[in-house]
Amino acid sequence: MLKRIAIVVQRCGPDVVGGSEGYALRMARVLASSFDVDVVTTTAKDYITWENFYPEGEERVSDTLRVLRFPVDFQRDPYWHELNRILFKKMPLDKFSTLETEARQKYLKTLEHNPIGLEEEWLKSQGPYSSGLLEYLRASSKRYDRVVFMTYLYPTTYFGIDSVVEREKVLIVPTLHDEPPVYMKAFRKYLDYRFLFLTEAEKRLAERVLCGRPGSEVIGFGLDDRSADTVPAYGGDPYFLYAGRLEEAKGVGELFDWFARFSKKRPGVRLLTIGGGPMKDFRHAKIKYLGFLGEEEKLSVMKGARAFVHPSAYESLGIVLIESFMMGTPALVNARSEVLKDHVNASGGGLSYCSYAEFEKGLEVLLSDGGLRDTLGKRAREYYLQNYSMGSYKERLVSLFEPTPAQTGKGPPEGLRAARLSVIS
Amino acid sequence: MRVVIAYPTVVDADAVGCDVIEEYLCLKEDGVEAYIYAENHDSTTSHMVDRDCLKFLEDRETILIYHHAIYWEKGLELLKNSLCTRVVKYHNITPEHFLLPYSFELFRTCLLARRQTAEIVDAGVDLGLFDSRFNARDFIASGLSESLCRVLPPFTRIHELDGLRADTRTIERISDGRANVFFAGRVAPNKGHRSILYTAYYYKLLFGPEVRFIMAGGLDPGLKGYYEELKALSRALGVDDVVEFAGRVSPEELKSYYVGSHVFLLLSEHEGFCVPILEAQRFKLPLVAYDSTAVAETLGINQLCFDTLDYETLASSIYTLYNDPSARGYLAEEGYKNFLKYERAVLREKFLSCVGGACGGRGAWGAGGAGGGGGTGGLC
Repeated sequence: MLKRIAIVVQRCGPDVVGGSEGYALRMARVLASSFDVDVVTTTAKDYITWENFYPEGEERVSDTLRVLRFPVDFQRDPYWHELNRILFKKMPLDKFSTLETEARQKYLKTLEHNPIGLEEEWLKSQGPYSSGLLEYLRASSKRYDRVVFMTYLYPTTYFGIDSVVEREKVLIVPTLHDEPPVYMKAFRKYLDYRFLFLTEAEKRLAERVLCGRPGSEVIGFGLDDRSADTVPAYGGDPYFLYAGRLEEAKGVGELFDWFARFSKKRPGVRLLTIGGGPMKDFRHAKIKYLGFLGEEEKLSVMKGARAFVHPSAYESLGIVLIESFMMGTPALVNARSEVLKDHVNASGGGLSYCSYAEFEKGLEVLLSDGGLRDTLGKRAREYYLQNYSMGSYKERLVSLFEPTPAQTGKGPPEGLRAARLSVIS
Repeated sequence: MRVVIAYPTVVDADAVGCDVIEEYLCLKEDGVEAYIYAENHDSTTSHMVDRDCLKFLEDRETILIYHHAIYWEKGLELLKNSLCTRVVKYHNITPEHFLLPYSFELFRTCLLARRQTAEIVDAGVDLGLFDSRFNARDFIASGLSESLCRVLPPFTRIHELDGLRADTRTIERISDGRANVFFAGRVAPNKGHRSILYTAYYYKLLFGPEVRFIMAGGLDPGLKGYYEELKALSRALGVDDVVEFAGRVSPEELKSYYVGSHVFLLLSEHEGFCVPILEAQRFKLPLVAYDSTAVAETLGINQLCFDTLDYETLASSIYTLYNDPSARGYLAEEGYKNFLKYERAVLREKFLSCVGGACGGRGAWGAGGAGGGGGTGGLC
């Protein structure tokens, strides 16, 4: 009999921009070729307000794929911002990624004492919180053979896993980022579950921040090879490209500042951007926002780019980077992201930077040395073919849902094991 | 079949009042003809109270659920004169000896109420419902057969607290790097405030003053002497700088203390159930508790509960938990599992089963009752 799989994700829609949301939908489509799949999500489209947008209820995508949407209970408001300020001791997300090791450890130490109740209150008010979705999982999880939760950070996963009584059915695709929230102790409850990581770097991060070794597999990702039927766009002046969420948390502010500085030396070069987010209206003569493009157009712009620039310090996979690699386009990435750095180091298909000087040097080399740029591009594509082709991904993914995973158990932590709990004489 | 629930004062803010109201609502949801009889009520409960319903007590098809938590002269008369099935829900009464040094009036009230327990048993009880196994002891000691006793924990308003927004000013004030040790409960002599002060003394002595012991709870005017005694003890022990008497707090502030604290310290010497245990567990606040009366029973398994009041050990436990997030996390998760056993849906099923059993499955439940669980004997 065909297995039934639920994939729980914070939002899902045709015009939703987001790495984990995109991943969830692609995973659902791959699995739907072998199983019955329901994407269980909210009616939110905007990841900042979580305002209800899509119609509530069922959307049938194909014979074996449905999207079930539930309304969110409340929108994010100043209460969450207040809790955020208190919990993270006024640490801006973009500053955290730049902290040196010692300062970082000192800061993380201060987070250790945050009460779990306060972390949970932060998580809930962050949203999207949908009691309808949680109730559905409580009532219906028995009908599914596996329930996959996408992204560690949101209430749909954090509270959702509690709604599935049979823990062995649960798989978490955490898409972990090395950001302050990942260090919350509340997330250590995930250690009771089985993880699917997107990269080895993400797996290492999980072991470090969750203080344990969860049962896990690295499943990676897969893309249908579209290189042969994609024509490079913008044949004229050379350009660099960034595609994704246009916001501070993704390092876009720094990218814009630095590129504006670089363009004074190299006025003939432009930075093109694709996607959506609060910084999409940024104006600069050499930075051009192309909007939210369709798949074909996006790949075409990627293929024509001198290089793909990824400024984010917080990535768990970097799908857009893999897409660029598929197009034979090399990358220049923020070295503070272990995941992105791993990609360029393992592939030899790009460069990384830690400072403006390195950023400038990287752009300059990619512009002026066409031979090197092409060599990097070839290596990038080779890396895609070896690691991220759809065929091997599908094989890995489908095989995961065949065997029954053993249930993981967890006893009291070491410090409490010696004690007789409940009544101590 | 109909049910009359009786208690002298039914107001939403009171713990017994909450239990009465939720029982009434559960019965109504289940299609049962239900009434509340009360001498006093407020605007939130006035539409539920029907004083004419006493006439049904002469009908054998009626079930009377009589809540016993305070002295109620008229209530005992109602019970004695009723011809219907009699179910008593007992919430415990503080032993009078705790109150004698501070208020003769409160001492007398508790003494009379405890004496009424025996009179209620003598009047005839068809089924006894108790917040805890511990509570059943008073009735069994007064002669009620154990086979007529069932444990039925009280309904609570924790879900309402859950839905509230915490007071962020309070959270910010206490999020200053000190270990926050919280206790919520009336300022009453059975609640263990003195032991909390002694623990504060040892904590400060052993680990320094980077700690805050917060005690929230209202004060009965009759117990002012007790409160003065606590203030004097705090001064004498030199712990004024690490102890806060927060007084009666708003629900928003209460939630702030639950989510902003590191440990809930429960050293009470007498508890019939102790709702704050569940509140703490709901908000993932680990407890350090003293195993008295019903405390360990409500606390559940895999929680930290000591059978002696050794203040150095208590202080060390608090310090260890504050500094060991894994231990805090473990206790919080295990506590939360215990809390889930007391959710409304679970209690509703138990309650309807008990009442259905008391009427032998007659009326709205039909033959066999609502699960029939109330028909089998024993304190399970």
